[in-house]
Parts: sequence; C-alpha cells; structure tokens
Amino acid sequence: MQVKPHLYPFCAVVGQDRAQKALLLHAVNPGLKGVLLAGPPGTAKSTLIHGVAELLPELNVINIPLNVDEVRLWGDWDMAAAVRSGKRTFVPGLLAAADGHIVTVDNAHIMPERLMKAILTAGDNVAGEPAHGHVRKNSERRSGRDSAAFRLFAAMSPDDGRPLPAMFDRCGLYVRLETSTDLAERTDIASRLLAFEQDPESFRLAYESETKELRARIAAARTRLPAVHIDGELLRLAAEIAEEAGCLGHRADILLIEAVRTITAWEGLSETTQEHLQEAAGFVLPHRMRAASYSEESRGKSPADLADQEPTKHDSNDDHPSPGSHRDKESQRESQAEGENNATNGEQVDRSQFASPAQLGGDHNGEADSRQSLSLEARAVVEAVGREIAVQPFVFTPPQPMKQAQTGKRNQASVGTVNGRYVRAAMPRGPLRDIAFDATLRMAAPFQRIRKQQSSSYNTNLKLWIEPSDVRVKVRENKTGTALLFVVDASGSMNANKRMKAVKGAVLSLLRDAYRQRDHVGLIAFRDQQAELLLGLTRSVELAERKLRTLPAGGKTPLGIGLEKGLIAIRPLLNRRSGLIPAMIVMTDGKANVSAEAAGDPWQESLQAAQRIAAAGIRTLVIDTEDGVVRFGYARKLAEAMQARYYRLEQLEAGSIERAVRTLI
Amino acid sequence: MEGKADVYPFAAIVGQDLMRKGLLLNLVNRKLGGILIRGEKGTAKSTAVRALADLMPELSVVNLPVHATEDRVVGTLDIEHAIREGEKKFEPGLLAKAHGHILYVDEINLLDDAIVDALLDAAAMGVNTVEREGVSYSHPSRFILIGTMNPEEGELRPQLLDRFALSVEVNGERDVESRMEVIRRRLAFEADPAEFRRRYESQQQELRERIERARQLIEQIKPSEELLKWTAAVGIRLKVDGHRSDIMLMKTAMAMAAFQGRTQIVADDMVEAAMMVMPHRMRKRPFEEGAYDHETIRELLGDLLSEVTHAS
Repeated sequence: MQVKPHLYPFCAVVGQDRAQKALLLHAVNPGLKGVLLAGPPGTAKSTLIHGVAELLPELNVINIPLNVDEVRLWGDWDMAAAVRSGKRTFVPGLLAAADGHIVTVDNAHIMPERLMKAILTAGDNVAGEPAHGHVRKNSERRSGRDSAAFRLFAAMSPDDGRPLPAMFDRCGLYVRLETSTDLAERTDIASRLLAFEQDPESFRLAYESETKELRARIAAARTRLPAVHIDGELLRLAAEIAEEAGCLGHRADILLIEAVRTITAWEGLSETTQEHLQEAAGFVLPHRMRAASYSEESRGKSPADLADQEPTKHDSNDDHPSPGSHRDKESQRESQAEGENNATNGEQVDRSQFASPAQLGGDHNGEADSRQSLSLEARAVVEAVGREIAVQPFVFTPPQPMKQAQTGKRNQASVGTVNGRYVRAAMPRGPLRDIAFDATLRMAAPFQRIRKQQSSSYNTNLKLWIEPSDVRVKVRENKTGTALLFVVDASGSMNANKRMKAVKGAVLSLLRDAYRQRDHVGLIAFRDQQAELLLGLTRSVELAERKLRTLPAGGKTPLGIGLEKGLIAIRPLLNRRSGLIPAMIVMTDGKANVSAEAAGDPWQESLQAAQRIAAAGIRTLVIDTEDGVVRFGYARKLAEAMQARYYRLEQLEAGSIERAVRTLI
Repeated sequence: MEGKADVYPFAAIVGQDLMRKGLLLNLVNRKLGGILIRGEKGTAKSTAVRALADLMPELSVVNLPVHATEDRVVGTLDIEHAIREGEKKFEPGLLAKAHGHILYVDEINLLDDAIVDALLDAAAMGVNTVEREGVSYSHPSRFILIGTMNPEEGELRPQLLDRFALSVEVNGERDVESRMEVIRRRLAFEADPAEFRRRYESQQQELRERIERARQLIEQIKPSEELLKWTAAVGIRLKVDGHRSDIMLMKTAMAMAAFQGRTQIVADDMVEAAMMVMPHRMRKRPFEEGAYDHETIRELLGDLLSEVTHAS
C-alpha cells in the first residue's frame, strides 16, 4: 500500500526561486543527476522535492525513508513464491525500480552512512555492487538493476548532522535555502500556508493553471534541449572554470555544460549567454569547490599541520569566509552577503573581459587573446560563485596508534544490541539475540517443499518450517557519539592573565559543536588543592555551559590531581560498549605546584598521570594556555608525556578548535 | 467514557494553567502541531496527557516508550503471518497506531537518535513510509505530538524542537494552598475514582462543549493581513530558523481566540500565542550571551505589534 499525501503545489512556494529552478532544470534534463537542497528546518525543502515530482506524472517517485534496509534497497527473494514453488525468484529493490525515475531522500544528512553510500553509488557505478552475499552470487537476479540511473532529490539540514562528502558529488546541483527575512515575502508564505491548510483542495485548484503552464514549459524546454548548441569555446570555458574552482575529475565540467544547456532551453533560447553560464556555475560549483581545494591541501599532511595552517589560509583568502564559518549561523549570513557582493563586484570588474555572447559562439579571430580572456572569465565566474559552502572539512585520521578497535568512525555497526537502525542481517555468532526474521524467513523459504517431503515430523499446519541454520540476526548501525571530558585549569595563574576568559570561550565553542553532534560532555576543574568533577558525562551541554560560566578561578595548580580525576572519570568508557568514543581535552599552562602527596613533586606527579593516560589509550588534546614573553613550555612537555595533540590557545580560533577536537576521534 | 474509568479528569487538575491551555489548544485545532512540556518530574505531565485524551472519547493516547525500537515505531514484518501463511504482511507500528490520535513521548530528549529520525521522517510529509525487512508500505501518520522532557537531562535536537508548535515550562506548585488542594483531590480520586469522576463530570462536559464551540468558531476566523505581517515580523526579529513558526503562531492565536469564544483575534491572543510558540525555537544556540528571557520577549512582541498595526 502506498499513500500520497496532500501536496502543497510546487508553484505556490514563495521565495525559493533558485531551488525551484534547480528542480525544474531536472525536469527538463535528467543528465543533471540530482539536487541537494540544504537549509534549516521549515524552509520548504521537502515540499519542493515532493512537489516537483507532481509536475512529472510520467515519472515514478521513489521515496527512500530513513528506516530502509539494504535488502529493500537492492532487492530480495520473493518469499511467498519460494514457499509455493521452492524456487528462488528475485524481486528487485527500490533502486532497481528507480531506473530512469526520481529518488527522494528527505533527511539525507542522517541517513545511515552505509545505506547512503549504496544510494549514491547505485546510479552511476554498476560495478560497485554492495558486498551483499546472495545478491552478488546470483547474477541472473541482477538483471533488473544493471543501470539504476535516476535523479536524486535530497534535502538536508546542515546544522543537524554531517552529510557524506560523496553526496555533494552525486548531486549535480546544489542550492542553499535560507530563512526569508523579507517581511512581505514571509507574510505571503504564511498566508498561503494557512489557506492551504484550511482547504487544500481549493488551494490546489487555484494553482492548477499555473501548474499546467509549468508543465507546458517543461515540455517545450525538453523539445528544445537537443538543439541547444554548445561550441568548443564554451566547452573550454567550462573546463577552465572547473579547473579554476579546483574541482577534481570531469564531472563538474560536464555538469556545467549540461546545466548551461538546460538553462538556455528553459529560457526558450537556443544560444547560450554568459548569464546562463554564471547561473549554471552557481548551481554546479559551490558544493565542489571547497571539497576539492581542501582535499588538495590536506593530502600528505597531518591534521595538526592543517590546524596550524588555518590562520594563514584564512589570511590569504580573506575575501572568503573561513571553512569553519558555516557552523555559525551569523557569520554564515554575513558570508553569504559577502558572496553576493563578490558576485556584483566580479561582474562589474570583469564584464569588459567577458567574451560577448557572439564571441562565445566563436565568431572572432583573435584565438590567442581569447584564450587569455577565457581564463579571466573562468576566474570571474568562480569568484562570483564564492566559496560559501557546507562541505565539512574534517579529517578523520587517528592521531596516534589507538588501542580501540573503531577509530575515527562516527558510525558503528554492531550485533546484539537492540539500539540503532537495522541495516542488514548476518549469521549469528554467540547467543541468539535480535533475530532478523525477514532474513531468516528468506533463508528458510526455498527449502520448504523439500523439508516437508523429507520429514514426517514437520508440522503441516505451518506454511514455514525454520531450521536453526536459517536463522539470521540483525546488524544495527549506531551513530557513535563522543564523550568529551574537559579538564580545565582554574588556578590563579589563569585568572591573573585573563586567560580564563579565553579558555571559557574556547570550551564554549566546543560545546556548541557537541550540541550539534549529540555528544556527551563532562567537566572537571582543578584549582587550589583539589580537582572537582563539576559535571559527569551527560548529554546536557546546556548544563555544562552553565557550570562553565560560573566556574570560579584562583589558587594554586593541582595539575596531577586534575589529570588523575580525568582518567578516573573517563576510564569506564574505555572497555564498555557504551557506543561512545571518549576523548579528554586538557586546558592548562602546565605550571603544576600542588601535589597529591605531602612531599611529592607536583610536576613529576603530573607527568606520571599523563603517562598513565597515554597508556590507557585515551585520545587527548592539550591546549596550552601559557601566556607572556617568557614561556616555560610545561604544557608541551605534558602533551608529549600524554601522547596528546598539542595546541596553543592562540592557534585555536573559533572553527579550527572544533576541527582540532574532531581530529581526535 | 467506559474503559477510561481510572483516568483522572482533566477538569480536576490544579494549577499548571499554561500546560492545560497548551494541551486544550491542540484539541481546538488538531493540526496545530503538538506541544512540548518541559519541567521536572512529578508535575502531573502524564496525568494531564491521559486526561486530555479522556476528555475526547474518540481520542486515544499512543505511548512511545523511550526504549522503543525502530521496528516497533515504524512497523515491521508480521512474523506470525509469515510463518502461518508463507506470505509477507506489514505489521503496523506506533506511527500507524497514532494516526489521528495523540502520540505521547515521555522523556523525549532521551529517545534513541534512530527513533527521533523516524519521527522527523514521518513528520516531513505526514506519511510513514516503510521500506525494510522485505516490506514496502506507507500509511498516513498525522498525530498530535506531545512530548515531555526534563531539560537538565539534555536538550532536544533543533530539528525536532521545530516540529512542536508549542512548548511550555511546568514547575511544581509553589503555593501551599494549591499544593494541599492537589493532594486532597489526588487522595479523593484514589479513594473512589468513579465517584470522583462523577463529581467532575459536569465540568468535564462544559470543557468539552467549549472545545466543540471553539472548533466551530475557528472556521470563521480569518486572520487579517496585518496580523499575518506581525507573525512574520516576530519570526524575523527573533531570528528563528525557517518559516514554520510564523504559521504555527498564527494558528495558535486563532485557536486562542476561538477558545475564548471569539472570532476576532485580539492583541493578547497574539502575545500569549507567541509566548508558547517562540521560546523553544530560540534555543538553537543556547550558548549565546544575552539570550532572551520571557520578559524581554513579551516587551518585544508588544512593541512589534504596535509597530505593525500602526504602519498599516
């Protein structure tokens, strides 16, 4: 049974022109591969991706929910047929049925990684079959899905999770949706939504003629598309733009050409103009640029180097927002405004260098001149697009040999826990728990006839007889959270140098990230004679924030005691299958002067505690808060003993500090 | 009202005016968008939710326990049917059961991420699509979402927060007289539920009729352009994400007016509605300095209202 919801008409959506355009271009040209709509909740993302489908009644829309499992994606046995005939008949999965049609994913950023990868690779990589035992072995059953080429319409909220980089590549076009700040526009949005809710039928009726017009325009553009002329100059320009933008591979070039062609056809023209090219670049490039340039820079360098470089990189690029800035809504808005400024400036400055449409058509002779000006054009186009983008530039390399099995994974597959999403079935190992009945039945089905014939002891009232060897258990995937324990020096030296404020600022910025990642956080402060667990590991980052704000500072520095307390707090997480990756962040200047023992050496004690932490295999980060002209470098030595990543507080501006912590896990 | 005889009557709940109002507004307009009740334990949250459904005989409460598995929530393969008949059949989950009713999630902030995601996915189109365990099925899934949480134990994801039309804070009664009354009624109810319910039946009936009236009145409410403008202005000024709050604000104000027996929305409806609709949407960045407190919001809302009404 399939249910169709009452859809809000596509053409009645207000203020999301670019998103609408990107989707309409797909209605014209399937070669654009897909659209990724990124934006906060409540910006009509789902409405748009489901709405456009209505304009294309000839196409099927396959909605892939978050609860999907691999078997449904790839296809499975027809169990009933197997019971009847004893033969294995294959029923193609969602992806096979998607061939040539539209696939929608509403919350793409929280789709389990493994399944999202399967969806992303299904269309263009037939050889990339999943290593899914029985699917692979029986080639005859695959015949249905040998070319699952479909348009992927995906929506995501960048602030709510971390999308797969591959998603950016798979979707040809990208549109960032923003909350409208225009009073008239927003009033219009509200009044239309209200009218729709009160009477969906008449609302839809009111937009029927507009919907019809859109359909007609799509049809016309489709007819026109094959005739849209692309010459060598434009091809070269597209290649140069892709090169200038630092896109890897040839996908960007091809998409750019396809997008330009489609836009031209959509506008009812047969010759392409520079505006079309600029518009196409705005859809095709933003989600490719950052990913590409970042991966180039990161090649062969450790994350620590990268973080070190961060300020320089930022300086050299100061027209553009720093890569971390998309995390902050405010600066994002600014950066977008900046991007828009770039766009206008770029056009003003470079218009003279732009080839005229006639030149693009190749009607001139100055071959050498044109080449040079083409490069400038390419640059102008890329600059105008700006570098505002949401690709997460995280590097997941373990900083040191880890003692734990799963390093650097945010998603963890496990058997025997009932939490998380059921992604696939496996042979049971150990005690039977969490049986995957669907897979078990699938295994049992083909043998039913034989079993019934061979044994008289079978209960003939039952249609299915299951043997122990049929039994499969569920493999579930859990998002792995992080347990971040902050061990913060609150001694007098911190206070005297006004370092405490900076430290609090840094921790707050980390908490903000933890909030988004559903991490657990804990807080230990040490000062005077003791260390205090202000907050055990909890999911309430708000509580952590409150504790931190009211954290008093002053007194001596019992560093060793603080570290020891941290170790005790984090140790239970090391062996338990808590699904949490524990990490410790120590913020201190390292100037220990209080020891646990009466006659102990505070510094030696601290070093020993640090070594114990290293020996326990805890991921650690030391943030050196030492200030002033003369520096003793204790914190660095401490970091060495702890085998910790080391940063000075100054190095860690907002954005890069989060990345530094993320590289730990 | 048979079968619900052990439910504490809604009309007998003492105090917690805001929570009661928020719950009732969701009955006046069942498409309002639910309510999130924030507060410490032992503040009669569950009692109130059960009482709410009891008020409307056709409504039932579907409980989504915090440890529920994804299969249980979205639905799964009917094993018994498969074994007996050798065929696949969909066994509906809680999202199917809750369609047209109340989906109640106690301690919603402690839900497994996978379950939250399932709720979000269903909420996106009001349809639950199941593609798992060899089953392919979809069914409408629109419900009144009521969640409770203790904020001390962790926040809700902004995406899920945004799905709640209203949120209210509840605290234990501070007033000694009221506290005594709470206990007195509780004891009376426990001693003889049937008798207690009888005692409140006429008040219950009044409440029912009031809701019914409001449901009819709301049909006649046509919000003016300037009020719509005001909702948009509030959203812009308070920098909430997305446009969902605007319409939720408008609908809440309409329900408020109707509940008061009016077909005209007055300024107070708007401000009261905003106090329930806006605060939880501004929690997105709880770490920013100078976060709005309720008083500031109230002032700001008043100012905006006069601005917009004077301008037009």
